[in-house]
Amino acid sequence: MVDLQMMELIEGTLAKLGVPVQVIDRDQEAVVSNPEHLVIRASTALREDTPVIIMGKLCIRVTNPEVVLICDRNVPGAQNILKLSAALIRGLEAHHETEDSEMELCRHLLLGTLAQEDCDAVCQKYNLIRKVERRVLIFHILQTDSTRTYDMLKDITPLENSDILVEIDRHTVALIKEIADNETLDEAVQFAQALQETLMSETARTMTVGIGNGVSDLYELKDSYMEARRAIEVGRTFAPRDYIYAYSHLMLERFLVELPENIAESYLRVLFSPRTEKVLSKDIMDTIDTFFRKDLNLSDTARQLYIHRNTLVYRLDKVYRHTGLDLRKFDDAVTFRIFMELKKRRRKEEQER
Amino acid sequence: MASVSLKHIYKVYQGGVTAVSDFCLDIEDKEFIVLVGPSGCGKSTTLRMVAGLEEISDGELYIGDKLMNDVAPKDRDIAMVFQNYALYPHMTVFDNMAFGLKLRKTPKDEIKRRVEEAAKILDIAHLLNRKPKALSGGQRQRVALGRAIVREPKVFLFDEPLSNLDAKLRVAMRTEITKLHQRLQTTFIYVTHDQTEAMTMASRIVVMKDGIVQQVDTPQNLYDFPGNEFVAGFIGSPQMNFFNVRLSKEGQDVVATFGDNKIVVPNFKIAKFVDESYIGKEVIMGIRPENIDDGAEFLEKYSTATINVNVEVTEQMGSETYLYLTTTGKDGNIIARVDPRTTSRAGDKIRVAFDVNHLHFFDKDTEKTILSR
Repeated sequence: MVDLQMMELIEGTLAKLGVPVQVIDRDQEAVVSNPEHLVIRASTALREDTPVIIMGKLCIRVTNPEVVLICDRNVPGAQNILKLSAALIRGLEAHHETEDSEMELCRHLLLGTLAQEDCDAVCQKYNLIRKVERRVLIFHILQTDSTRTYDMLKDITPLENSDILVEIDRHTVALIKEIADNETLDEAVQFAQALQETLMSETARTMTVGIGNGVSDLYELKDSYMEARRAIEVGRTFAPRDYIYAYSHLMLERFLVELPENIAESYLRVLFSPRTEKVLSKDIMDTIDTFFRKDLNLSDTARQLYIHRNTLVYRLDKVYRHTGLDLRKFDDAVTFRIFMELKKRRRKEEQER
Repeated sequence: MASVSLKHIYKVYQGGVTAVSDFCLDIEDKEFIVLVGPSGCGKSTTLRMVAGLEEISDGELYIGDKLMNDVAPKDRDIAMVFQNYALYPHMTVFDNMAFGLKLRKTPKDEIKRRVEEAAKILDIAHLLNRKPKALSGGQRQRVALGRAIVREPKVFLFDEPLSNLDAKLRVAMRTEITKLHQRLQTTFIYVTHDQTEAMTMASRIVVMKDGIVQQVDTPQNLYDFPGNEFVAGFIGSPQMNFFNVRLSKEGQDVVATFGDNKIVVPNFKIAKFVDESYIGKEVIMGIRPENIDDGAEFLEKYSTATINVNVEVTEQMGSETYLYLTTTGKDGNIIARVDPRTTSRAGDKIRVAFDVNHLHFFDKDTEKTILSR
């Protein structure tokens, strides 16, 4: 049976070339609506490579994929058109199979299910260079319908020659991307942002992106893949509205995630106690968050929050009185920031429970 | 080019959180509308609903006279410029601008024509063969604009496009976008949390808070006639000063009392009160920082509206100086924008006067203005 994607490819290619040929799948009943085609499909007279006349139509059989091509015998050069079309379809199928098996191989590479000793052999088979700097980006779109993330991304992702897009599951696609000389991690982030915007403009969907570190051996891609996955997990906990997470940008967050729950909890209790609960309200926490984002600049923060500078000073004094941390001082600000992040982790854990 | 009409638009998320409530607005063809408000006010959600990136929970959206609620974003004839001005780093400027058109299978000649035309408009024709790495922040932002222009949309949507730029570049790009609007003569809908951007660019501003439209008006009208305390505080930087005052009659005068301070409210202001019964009650009084001064002439001119203050901090901005002041009473923090040659320094005890022609008054409960225009 020809898969739907292949059938669409064949029909699309023939339509683009303006070839007056009909394609029927020999095994797939559903696509045959014409009774004439049922007879043709079952005919033992069908030959591979040689067109024959059945039910007044010129027909040829293709075995891989299993289809029959039909052409009106009055079309000038009908015999040659059918032969050429058959050859074209065989070529398309061969290419499709190579792509499929290359994707399968890459999936094994990323999931770490390919033995290291097999790596050289597969590199040779698929013309892949083993020792090149590459990184893995993971794109995750949580769909509620039957659309596959791979189908959404394959047409809109501008791939370079050596890039490989790999379907991991219905929601997840990995991109194996070669890293050019002098290419920075920021450029990978920019690529992800640009793709995110293209995806939004074209399909109205958003995706989450995880970006792994560069590795120099094809066999190590599994490490980059795991980092990209981890980046998404950790990033969603600490910055759920960011969507694009690079593993190496999440040092502090990764460290905090590793902290055992009971230790994290005991530290959290030091700062976020019933005594401080009233002071550290949502408003105050938003103020502190903005103060950190404005690099501890009082005037900029006051302007951003549309509050009087003295109001901000008053709020920070109040935090100092109740917590002992003066957020205008770098060391105290760092300590508070770490506790803030730990609190985000706890919130996420509570949601998951 | 097209008008955009939002009729009773709602956005309610799963779980019942209402992000936008009963949003009604008719945007005329070629208008430059700015949606402004603090984080979480629903401005970006509204824009995303126009773009088709968010489903509309209730209400109707028209672009031109076509109902767009169920039309896919790519078929809405709009182009959106996002915050990140993200470009594909491995593509040239030309390819970045052409990419959207290629996805739409636009013929090559047409792509070339549109990209070159947009590049000319944006003055980046000489950069078409460069990669993003070799561009400055401003040039990248122009390429992002170019990517939207080549689509020749009926409506441009901007989602905080300048928020990632540094202050100097932001000012320059503000002018660029205004010029672009004049040149393209197309409808622009622009979202920002920065009221200065809104004031300098918009034909009309929509101020939002908690998913609800607070006021829609021209920049100058919003500044001069804020409809409520929120708009008054949000529009203008530094923000308006507010005082809880009691209005009372003293002889022929109406005075506003707060802390140990008394201000005589001029009769023409009283005449504008929508209801005289506010006299004798507590109301909120507002005054903008530029209407408070410590200069001798000013003090003399508004001698019935002076108060004693302590100078906490002075911020010299070059063309002006901000005085951060405190006075008695619970609304004791005041900002004044004064002449840069002021001699007032932190720690000084001084007198300042209020320009009573520019007092604003709001109802204490509804926070709505109690002045008619």
